[in-house]
Amino acid sequence: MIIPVRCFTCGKVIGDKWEDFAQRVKEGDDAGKVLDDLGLTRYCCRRMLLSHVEIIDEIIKFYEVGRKQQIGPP
Amino acid sequence: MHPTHWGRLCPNETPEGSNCGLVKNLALSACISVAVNVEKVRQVLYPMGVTPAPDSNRELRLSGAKIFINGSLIGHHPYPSELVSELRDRRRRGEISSEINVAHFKTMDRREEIYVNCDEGRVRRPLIIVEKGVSMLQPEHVEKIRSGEWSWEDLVKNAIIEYIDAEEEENIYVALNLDAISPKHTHVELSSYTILGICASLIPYPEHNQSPRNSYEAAMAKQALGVYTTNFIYRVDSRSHVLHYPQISIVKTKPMEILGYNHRPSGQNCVVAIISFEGYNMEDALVFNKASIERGLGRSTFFRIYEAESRQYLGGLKDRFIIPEAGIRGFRGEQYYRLLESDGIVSLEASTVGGDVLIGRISPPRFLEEYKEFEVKGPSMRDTSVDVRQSEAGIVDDIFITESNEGNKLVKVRVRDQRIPELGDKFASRHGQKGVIGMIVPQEDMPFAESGIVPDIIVNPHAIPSRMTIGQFLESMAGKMAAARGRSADGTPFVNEKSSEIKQTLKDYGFSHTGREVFYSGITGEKFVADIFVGIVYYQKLHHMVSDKVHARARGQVQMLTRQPTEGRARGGGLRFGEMERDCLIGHGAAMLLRDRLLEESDKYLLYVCENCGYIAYFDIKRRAYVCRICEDDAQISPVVISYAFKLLLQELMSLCVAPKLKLTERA
Repeated sequence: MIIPVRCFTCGKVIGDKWEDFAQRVKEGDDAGKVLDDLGLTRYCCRRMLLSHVEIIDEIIKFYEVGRKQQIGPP
Repeated sequence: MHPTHWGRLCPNETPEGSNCGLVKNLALSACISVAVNVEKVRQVLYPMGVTPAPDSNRELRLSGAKIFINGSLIGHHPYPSELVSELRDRRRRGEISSEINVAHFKTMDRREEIYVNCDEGRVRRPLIIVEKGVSMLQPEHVEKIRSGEWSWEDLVKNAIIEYIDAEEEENIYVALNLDAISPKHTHVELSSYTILGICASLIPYPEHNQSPRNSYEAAMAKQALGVYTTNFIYRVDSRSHVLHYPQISIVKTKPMEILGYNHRPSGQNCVVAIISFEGYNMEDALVFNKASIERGLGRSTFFRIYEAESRQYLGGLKDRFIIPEAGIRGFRGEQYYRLLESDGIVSLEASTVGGDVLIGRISPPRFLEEYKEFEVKGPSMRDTSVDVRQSEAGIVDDIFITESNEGNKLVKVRVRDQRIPELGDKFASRHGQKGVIGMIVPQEDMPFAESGIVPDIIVNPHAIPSRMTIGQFLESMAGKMAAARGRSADGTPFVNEKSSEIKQTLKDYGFSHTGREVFYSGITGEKFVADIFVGIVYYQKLHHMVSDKVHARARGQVQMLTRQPTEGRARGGGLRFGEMERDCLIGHGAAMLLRDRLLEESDKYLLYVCENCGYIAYFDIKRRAYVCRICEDDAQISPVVISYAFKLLLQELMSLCVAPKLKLTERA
């Protein structure tokens, strides 16, 4: 849904690294190198960013529409 | 299975149990034919030299081939091979419909027959046409598809791909891949992994698993939680689950991308170690890391809809949404209505528990006509409020107030409940390795590696040998490799990253080629003698959660008809002590326990029987005694302890005009 704050397995904070990671990968950088640059060495932290899907971006659109039309969740 | 299932029906996706083999699933590339007008086909065939059946002379009937359309004989033709190739050429050129398939049968003992099929319901699959040993699909065509200039229909129109049904497949020779094409081949497969259906296509390295394990996973993939649609906020599905942090599997298959599974994944990548842990992961149980769960692993939310309609009845009476008052019939007690607002509907974000009323409603009494007979005016209204299911709890998520088809006010309340993984929740990998959480262990007690890796899930090694699910091992190593190098692994059946590549890449990144790592016990701190196999495996949370199943009953509701305990958790039912359980007690000689189970705890009933005639006696209120109408004064009434179900049986026999008499003897 939204990037979890910490790596599930070891607890290292990864939430602050998602925006950076997603942006650089979108621009074409190699994901492995970006993960190294962000300081994620253990494979448990690496899989958190590698396999994440920000579905909340799609879900939040429904909240925004609702707010505009004054229906649905406030 | 039948050879024609290749490419048409999935070999693995079928349910276990009674429906096995009867419920089938289409393969990925297969499609069902739609009918073409038979007349048009006939009008094509006759000019091509087919003599209609009534007109064929004896010679043609003996030497020529029989031509059938959809199984009916329409005529004969002297040169069947030319007819068949001409028909197929016309189909490829687009002059006749691509839905038509032609099969040519020639055997030694019977004359040649040509079957032309154009009916609906045939399962057909696409194949690349091969002419004279050269595939019609060339790099320039692939470039056109990649650029978007050409679509699938263009490939069919330009005679690069054609659809073949089961009958025409008898006449072709298909090469498995481009390298295997020889001059004798007529077609080549698009890709061998399209023999699988949707669910089986999600399994990585399935060709390394024992086949039934793939079938189990094909069934379980349908039970996995994920984000089923992004507009779940607005939907009123009666029950729904949403996984909080779904992740794309890092060991993917090519069909996943096509299916859109990567947009709506239904599982999470977990660090999985294979080791026996304190005996808590025996018999397929799983040990989970407490800290991982606290950080969000496996969390989901469960939504349920409760609805109520304020109906209108004859005579102008109607239901009302209101907080019921104390005098109303069926009033539950003031505390159950505490969350309702003035309109009778619960407030948003109220924390509810089983039994709390969500929608307060009162209804007029049923069968109002009956009360008109008695002088007493019937009770005015009764409480028909909708309450939260007894075993559930949650927070009111949203309320929908609308109108039903008949114009009545309709209220739907959605209650949400957060489900954090607990002991008893069911999880499964993609290789038929299902299991229930047996223990949640704090991170400090978990085995750890020097790098700081700690397992999320610990799987017992006993789950592997008899199941032979090697795909899980390959996925584990491929997952570790993929996370290390920063790029997903490809586990597509038949065209995956080979184990040798995985081993080499693991070595490049500093891991052992065996997939094992040095671990230390979290409890004693000592190094484990053996290196532990650990990697990343995609685990799915299945919707069988213990809080939906846990149930207990000491005493409770009984059914009206049989006076036996009700059935089902929702009705507060008892667990059936069935015939086989009865046999076990008999085997132990535990007669009193049997009596207890079947009479005391179930439907024990005291029946008064007249010893004289053997029929049931009844209690006469006026005479204040049990009487038998048949033998008025000779009657000797005695009570007998039986089950109510037996008394019911007696009465059912009586209703069939059979007279069951009970012969009583003195208790010894």
